[in-house]
Amino acid sequence: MALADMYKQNNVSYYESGQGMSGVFTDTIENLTANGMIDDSIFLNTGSTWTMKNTGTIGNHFAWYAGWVGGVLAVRQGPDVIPITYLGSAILSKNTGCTVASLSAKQADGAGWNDFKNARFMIDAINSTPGTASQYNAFNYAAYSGQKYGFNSCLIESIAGYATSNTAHNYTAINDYTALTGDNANRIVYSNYQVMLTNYNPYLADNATLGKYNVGYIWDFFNIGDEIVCVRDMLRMPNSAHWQSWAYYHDVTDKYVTIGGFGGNVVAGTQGALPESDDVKGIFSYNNSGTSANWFTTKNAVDYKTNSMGLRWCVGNATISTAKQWRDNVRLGVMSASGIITHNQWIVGEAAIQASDNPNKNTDYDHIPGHGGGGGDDDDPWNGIEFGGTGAGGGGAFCSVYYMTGAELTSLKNWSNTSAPENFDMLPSIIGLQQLPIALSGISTTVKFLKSGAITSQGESRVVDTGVSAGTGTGQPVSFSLGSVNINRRMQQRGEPYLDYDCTVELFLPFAGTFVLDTQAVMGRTINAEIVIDPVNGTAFAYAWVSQDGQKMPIAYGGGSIAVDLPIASNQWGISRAAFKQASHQMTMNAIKDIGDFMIGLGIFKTGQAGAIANRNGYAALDIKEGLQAKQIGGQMMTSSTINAATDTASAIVNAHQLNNTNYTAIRGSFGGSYAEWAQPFTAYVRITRPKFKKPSNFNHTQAVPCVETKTVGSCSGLTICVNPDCGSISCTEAEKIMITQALVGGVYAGGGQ
Amino acid sequence: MVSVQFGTYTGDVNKIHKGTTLGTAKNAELKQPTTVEAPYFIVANGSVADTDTYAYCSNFGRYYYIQQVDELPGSRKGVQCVVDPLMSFAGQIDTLEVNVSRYEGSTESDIYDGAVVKLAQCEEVIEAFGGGQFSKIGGGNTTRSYVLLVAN
Repeated sequence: MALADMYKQNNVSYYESGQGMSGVFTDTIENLTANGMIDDSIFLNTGSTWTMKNTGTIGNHFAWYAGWVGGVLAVRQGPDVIPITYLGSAILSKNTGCTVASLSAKQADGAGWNDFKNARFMIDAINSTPGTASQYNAFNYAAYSGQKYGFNSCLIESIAGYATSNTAHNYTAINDYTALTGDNANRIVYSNYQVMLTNYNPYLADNATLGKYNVGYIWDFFNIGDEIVCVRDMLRMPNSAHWQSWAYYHDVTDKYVTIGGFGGNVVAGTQGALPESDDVKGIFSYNNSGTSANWFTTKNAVDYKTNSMGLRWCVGNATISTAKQWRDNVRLGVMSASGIITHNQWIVGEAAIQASDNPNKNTDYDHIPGHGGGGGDDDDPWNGIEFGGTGAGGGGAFCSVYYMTGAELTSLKNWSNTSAPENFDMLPSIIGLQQLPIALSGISTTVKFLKSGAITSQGESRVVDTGVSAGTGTGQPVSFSLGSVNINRRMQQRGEPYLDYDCTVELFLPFAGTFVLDTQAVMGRTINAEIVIDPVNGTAFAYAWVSQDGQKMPIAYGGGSIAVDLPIASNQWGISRAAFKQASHQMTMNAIKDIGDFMIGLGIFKTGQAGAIANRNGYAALDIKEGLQAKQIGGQMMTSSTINAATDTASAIVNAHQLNNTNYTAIRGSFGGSYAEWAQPFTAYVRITRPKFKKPSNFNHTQAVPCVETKTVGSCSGLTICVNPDCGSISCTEAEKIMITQALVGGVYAGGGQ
Repeated sequence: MVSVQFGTYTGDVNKIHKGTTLGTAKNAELKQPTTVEAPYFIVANGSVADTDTYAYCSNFGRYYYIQQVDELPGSRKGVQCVVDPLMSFAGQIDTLEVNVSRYEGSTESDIYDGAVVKLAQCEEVIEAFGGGQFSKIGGGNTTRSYVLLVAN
């Protein structure tokens, strides 16, 4: 069956066609709908002509692992088809036989590819077998067309793959890319695009942005304007010649930046802690004024591989005139304005806490201590403090902190129910159990208890190893960037700039509440915010700051509880409720009622027993209704239902969204122990109240604009009001001087026109 | 006997450089005593029109506003004038260096201006922080952790 017929027959937008098909196809696939996918092993053998037509949108994948063996693949637009306007995340992979002709077929249609946004192209086969010049020529051709027609935010991964698979070519194979060698100046000029094809060309750009989708190795940088901004550290620095840098997509294992031969300012940044084992979070090496031949040595390369933490900066034999911080939580305190840093001296900055690829998973955090463990953080009060776990700092002597997943917690429950040693009760050993909306990971271990209350015979181990996997951590706080927002001056553009300072700026910080900010402090600046979470006690501390002259100026901070206390015993539940009740006195009675209802609605306890603990402790009046609800919240003494509840966060959050808060009560801070906390925004916001004004269209001419200036009257225009003018030099009578003086004070129309 | 041109002017009285439309110079007598700030010119009937508002006396080097025109015996008219010192000395005034508190072309920022009318209703904008890492569970984020504290 022809490929097109298969597609039509199935009439689906997602079409997993190949399944190992190979052969000679002469097909035209028309009207492929959004998210269309041609997947798996379609081999278009020699003689195939496979044309995609009328494809307004090709979705997430196209020809994933589709073999392209000698066939002609024409993803074309032409006179009779709808132009391809979006080829999202397309991957042309395993194209072992890609030829110039195949990709240039589109050109034959008389039009270039229109606009490939976020497309990803990959010739993956070269990882194992170095490709031929023609392969890369083909992609170069595509890249060239892309440059012409809007190749925006695309990844051409072939070159990176080529670089990794064929090191020799890094040195010598420049001529592999000869398709358009005479066109260097035009090919690689991308300004403010997150596309960089630096496969062999000099990088030419104004204020280049080396970003997420950058790829290529840097032959050299020149002709760049004032600044290179490494949005993400996509450039890898091998340990020999400086120009061998290349980049990968987000799956880099090392994040190094090296830029040589560039005379402007460089702002280089790294994002986030690397999950990889080498723990190198980022290294930036910068050679500003030194000769580039020897400035980055093998020794340094070894150094950065063995250093364990931190955002490290090596500036080679550079004279740093301008060291800009890339993100506000990166501090470059030791860079002096004119200091010369030798090639083997590391400057350890503050680790950036940024997401790697998916920034909103709450998994990319940094431990607070040291913020990268180095210089400039000597005043960090967290340094050296550990709160628990197995760290070497002395903490954890009486407490182990386990970071667990829901599945691991369930395993622990199952162990308790079925595999625990006879007469062993783990509950007395458990100090607390709480749930956090973040991912925590520790050193892989198994959960262990002590038979703390048992009398053991000499030589008998008191340790009960559950065998349940968990991560053990130090309990150190972790922090997340809450991002930033610019408080732009808007009245400046509207004619009454002073009104910018009549604005009211309010800030909401998750788990900390709202703050009325000092407008003077924030207007025209960028507010950054961060939240610090203590996994031991479940508190969250959020703060915001603005920066000036490299200094952070806190503008708001507050804290609350982010953890959901998961009671494991009746008395603990009672204590938790008591604490909540105490906190609730700060709210209106209606607010108390709402949250009380909400908590019941959460259904944390699935299999509650009669006799609510809350009732026994006398809190029924607050939020415990009669009947079923009282039973629902009733004290389950043991673990199974509790742990079941603990793993039921998703439904709880759904319920949280159902909170119907009918009160307009300003609440600051947060309460512990309730999923309700997670119903609040996790995003920081600002609310800017800006004054509106009204003035006639000829206001500036007839009523004039205030100023404090000394000028000649003739240089002014429109209504001009003077302060104490001295008219003594005018050759007129005293009576006329008085008249002129009064006129100037009262306002005259100066200049020629009116 | 002095020479006076009569005509009209354009622009506000507090405009330094006014536009003028003046006729030919006419001979005029001065009613005595007189001043250069407020002269009384006596001219022939046809020298000044009822619509004239402005005058220039080259002998005094001054421009004048016409305040009043009187019918006089002998087919003559009396013209009461008052000096326009701004126009008369515009060149010298232009070169005066003064402290200016308002003018049309000011580009200075952040000076309060009481002449601008602020409205009671303000504009409110709510902007979310961007670029953060922290997000709520849901919307694709299923991350959570359980922290178990165990005595040991």
